[in-house]
Amino acid sequence: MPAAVLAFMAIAVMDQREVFLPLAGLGPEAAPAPSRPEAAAAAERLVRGYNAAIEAAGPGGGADRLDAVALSGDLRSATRRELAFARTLPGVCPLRSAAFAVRLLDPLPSGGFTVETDETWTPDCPPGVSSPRPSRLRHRYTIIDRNGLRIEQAVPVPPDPVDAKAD
Amino acid sequence: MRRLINTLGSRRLTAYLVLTYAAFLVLLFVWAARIPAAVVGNISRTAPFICAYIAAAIHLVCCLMIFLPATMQRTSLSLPADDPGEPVALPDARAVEAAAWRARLPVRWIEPGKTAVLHRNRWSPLGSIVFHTALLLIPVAVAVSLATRVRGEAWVVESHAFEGTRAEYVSVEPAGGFESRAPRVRLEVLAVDAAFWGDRLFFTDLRALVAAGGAQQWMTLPGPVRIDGARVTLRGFNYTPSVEISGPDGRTVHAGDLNLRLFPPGNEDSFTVPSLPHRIFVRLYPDSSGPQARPINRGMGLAEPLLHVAVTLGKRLAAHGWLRPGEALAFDGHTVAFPRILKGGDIVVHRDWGYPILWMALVLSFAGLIMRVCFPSYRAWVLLTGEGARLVVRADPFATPPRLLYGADPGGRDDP
Repeated sequence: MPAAVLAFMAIAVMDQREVFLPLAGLGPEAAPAPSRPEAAAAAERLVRGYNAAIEAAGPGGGADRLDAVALSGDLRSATRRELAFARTLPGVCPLRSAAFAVRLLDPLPSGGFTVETDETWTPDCPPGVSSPRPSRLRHRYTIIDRNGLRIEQAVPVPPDPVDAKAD
Repeated sequence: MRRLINTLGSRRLTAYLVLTYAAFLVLLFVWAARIPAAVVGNISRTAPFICAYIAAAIHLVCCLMIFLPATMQRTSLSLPADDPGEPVALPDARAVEAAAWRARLPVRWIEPGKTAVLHRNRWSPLGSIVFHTALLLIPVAVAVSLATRVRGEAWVVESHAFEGTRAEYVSVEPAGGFESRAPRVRLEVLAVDAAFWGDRLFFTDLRALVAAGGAQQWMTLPGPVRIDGARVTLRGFNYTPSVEISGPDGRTVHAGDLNLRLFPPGNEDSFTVPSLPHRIFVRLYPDSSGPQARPINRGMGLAEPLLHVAVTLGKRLAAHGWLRPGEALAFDGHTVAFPRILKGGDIVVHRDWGYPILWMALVLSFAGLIMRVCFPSYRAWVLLTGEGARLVVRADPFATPPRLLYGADPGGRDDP
């Protein structure tokens, strides 16, 4: 019976070796992970960089700055498409970021972040052109960590219908 | 080898295993109260537990190997050689047959006029073997389930066909190898009916009429339909609109039925179309008189549907507004309208070939228990020596011996 108990404990230790080996000082050296505040700051910088690239894509193009931002392929092509379409619309002026505030920066279990921002974008119309109202929207960014942070999704959150009615 | 089997099938090991399982169950119950069920499920699949399961299966096989010959011996009609029996008042063969008839015991003469065997529920001892074999079927069922189990969740919309391709499923299990295992579930949802309890979010009835394999059948909330060995169950209800987007020249640039989740009322979902970079957000209030300061939704049924639509382009809110079905909202030179609202639902497609084996194990285990408990075995040999008769009895402890065989009480309780 004692032998069976010992064998059973050995099986349990083998099964949970990734827990026991590091405790015994035998685990592989883990790469030093960036501290959480640093990663959060990096995520916020990434979102600001994405917005700056969109802002730079004025009427004359300038979408190249998007290449410098870590984005998923889908988001990059969707953003390019949006910018290209906006340029074709008559009376639609390029947007300038007037206000930016991070509402929520929530770490994901997989290592990334969900970032929610309140953003105000004002049309930068030339003199003489009637300027539409600023666009105040909440945006939700999903940032994943795949050998570095990358924006996977950027989705606007439309206003609540009650607010929309009052708008 | 025999010694190993005896050790592995010993009663002492049975006791240890029962205690180990009891300890495991107590641990799992304690953890289940503190941590999520999925984590407890994962713990129950760790190596110590799996070792205990394998040990139990090996122990069971060894027990069967040890006890099968003894059990077969207990069904035998051969006269036990080592038992002299006890004297009974059965003078001749005629008296034996009369007593057996009154006791409703079939009689078989092993040696005519000399040795007879009377028996009831002869095969009852095999109930133990049936019961324990059924227990062995459980790990087989688990193994078959792990190898064949497939589960997918999908949204369906009325008047649309569901072809059962991977792309149509919202989620699938297992993620890898789903295509090779997936059942061929093809169905067309002809209608979805939902009845609500007043204006509350309670279904009093939810069912869908589906056409599959050339037949129409109702799929209800608790009643699945079976297609290609899979259970297809209706799990939820949904509203989704059809959309029509027109370009600056008035020509339709996109039209079709969407697959959005707009139920329960106020739930927001969005979609894009290939020809435009915009994202269109929609909310539905199925029975609303109109947009007041807060949209009042009077019920869950589709009486006076009202939609809230917001169109965004990147950082810009291009347009938003309240629409009735058929009304249009203008944005960036285009218009969007939702001509009709369709009903739909969530379905779960589930196939697991381990289930029939598990059911078989359940039925067999009950059959074994009933055989053993409700039909106790009784065997009696009558030896006529010419100078009196002797009775040799082999019976389960809880079997009632037919007293008539003792020839003393013809009016007793066993008298028919």
